[in-house]
Amino acid sequence: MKKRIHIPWPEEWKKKTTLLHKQGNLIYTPKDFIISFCLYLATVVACLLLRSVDKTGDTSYVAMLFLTDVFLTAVLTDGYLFSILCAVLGVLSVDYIFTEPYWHISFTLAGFPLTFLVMMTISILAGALASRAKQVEVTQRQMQREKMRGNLLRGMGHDIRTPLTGIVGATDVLLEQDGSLTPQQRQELLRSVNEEARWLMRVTENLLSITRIDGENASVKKTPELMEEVMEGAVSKFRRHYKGIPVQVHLPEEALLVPMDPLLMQQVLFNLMENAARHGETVTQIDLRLTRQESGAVLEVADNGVGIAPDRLGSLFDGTSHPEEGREDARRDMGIGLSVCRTIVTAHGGTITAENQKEGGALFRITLPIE
Amino acid sequence: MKIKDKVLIVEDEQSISNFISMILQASGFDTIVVRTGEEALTMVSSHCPDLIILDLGLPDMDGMEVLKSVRKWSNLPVVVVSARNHEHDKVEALDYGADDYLVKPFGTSELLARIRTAIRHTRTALPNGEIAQSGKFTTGELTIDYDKHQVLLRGENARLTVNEYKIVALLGKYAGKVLTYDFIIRELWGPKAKTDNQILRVNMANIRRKIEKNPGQPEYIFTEVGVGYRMREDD
Repeated sequence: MKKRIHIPWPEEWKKKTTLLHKQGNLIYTPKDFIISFCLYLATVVACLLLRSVDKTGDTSYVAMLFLTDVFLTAVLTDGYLFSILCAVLGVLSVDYIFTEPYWHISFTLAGFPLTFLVMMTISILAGALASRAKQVEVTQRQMQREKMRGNLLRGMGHDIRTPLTGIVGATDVLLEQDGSLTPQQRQELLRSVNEEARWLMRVTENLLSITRIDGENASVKKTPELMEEVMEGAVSKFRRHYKGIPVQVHLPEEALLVPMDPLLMQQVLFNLMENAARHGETVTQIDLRLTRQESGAVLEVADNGVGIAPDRLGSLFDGTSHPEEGREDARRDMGIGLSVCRTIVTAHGGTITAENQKEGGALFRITLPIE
Repeated sequence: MKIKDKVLIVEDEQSISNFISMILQASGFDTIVVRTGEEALTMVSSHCPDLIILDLGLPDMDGMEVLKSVRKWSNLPVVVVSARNHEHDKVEALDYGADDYLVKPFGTSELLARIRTAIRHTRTALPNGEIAQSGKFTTGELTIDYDKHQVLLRGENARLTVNEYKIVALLGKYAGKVLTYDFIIRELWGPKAKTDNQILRVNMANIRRKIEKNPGQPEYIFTEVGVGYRMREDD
């Protein structure tokens, strides 16, 4: 019977090899294969063309072109695999096709080891540089996401704590000072508790809607939905909460099917209308307009209020758009509604912008890709 | 003495069952409150309530199980009240025979309206009693004439296509109740129809353009996003 010999494989090595695979240093993808193959083909064709044109017999351009090929392959593909293969192939091609005698391998050539070494070095160096650059990009994106989440959580914390303080305070008074309160005062306290609690519900809805977004890829499950139905839902919800402000919906003639997560998009529209109602100060009318443009489905939420302070326009969707001093500080919501909007719209592959209208009032514009 | 409608409230959260019970009693209902699915099933068979308000998150079993076992032998109206907000939860509950689905948090007036609708629907043999008597259903300025297969808006024919009429007629039959996409498709195109609700959406968009003043702010047919459609009740 054959005895199996167990070779000890130190944990340390194991880690290194898995690390190598994780970072994708030796990964194969069909896309990369096509890229390197095309580059190689182009190089060979270019050399052959040059040789047929140039009659001086000088072939120094061959090495240069192949060096470029190796370099480009290293930069354009992931990992080292293809750049190394390209270097090997390059050396062989230079030898086989472009060195006398043509169409013949001649390892005896004096320059061969040197060429090989140079090509190899370049491919590995360029590959390493390229993958490091890619790594940096990934880390940066991760950091950005972390920052966004931090802002969102901070905003949420504030949005939750302020109404809670109001609720606890009001109920404390009701419980402890019950004897000395007039019926009106009691009503007023109860009403404020009710109002704060309702606001908390809506903050929670925003929180929950974020959990519907796939965190890893920041993407959503899309189904084709009639935009007008989603608008209808958002408007009727807004009406329930803010009875005093009329909303006018403007639709195009043709119904528009847009791929989206309908509940999330409803949340976005509701947040924008709520934002207008809470911050527009003098808003008496909100217009919700859907149009179809080349860039996709365009949704506009416009109000006739005081508009957005110019210095806040830039950071409106960050969840950090609250100035420290002034009466703005007394506001409860610090714009988490808007940062939720951006998170949702971005996850749909769309864009959201804000501006002030010439005739006054704020205008939010969402563009969603149709296909 | 007036006999009151009896409502069974199945809810494990006391603060919620308390307030529901209070409103219902103030609005002229008798209430029984239970905390578990087990108790609920016993109460249903021993007390024969007129309606069940069912929470899905119960301590001993899923509320859906209660719904399923009640539906095996009874048509009594069930209004589901749940914190689960996902469309598929709603669709599942409605498809298993729930009469309505309210997502927590909900307003008290909304709850009462849905309860009244649900009770009324089971009182009449047909889903909608008015249709049985007159062959017509009217809400606002919209009339569905079931005998002539027409939909009239302010007395004028709205010129719906056959499919469009069928959809409106079905919604009118169950006015006030949410009908899921699947239910509508099955009723209209048979059980073997592919459950692709795209065609239904397009039809609905056309219907709205024919019967609503502003399709973005409908007065007659409302959308329950991701779930289905609901026709306004007769006034």
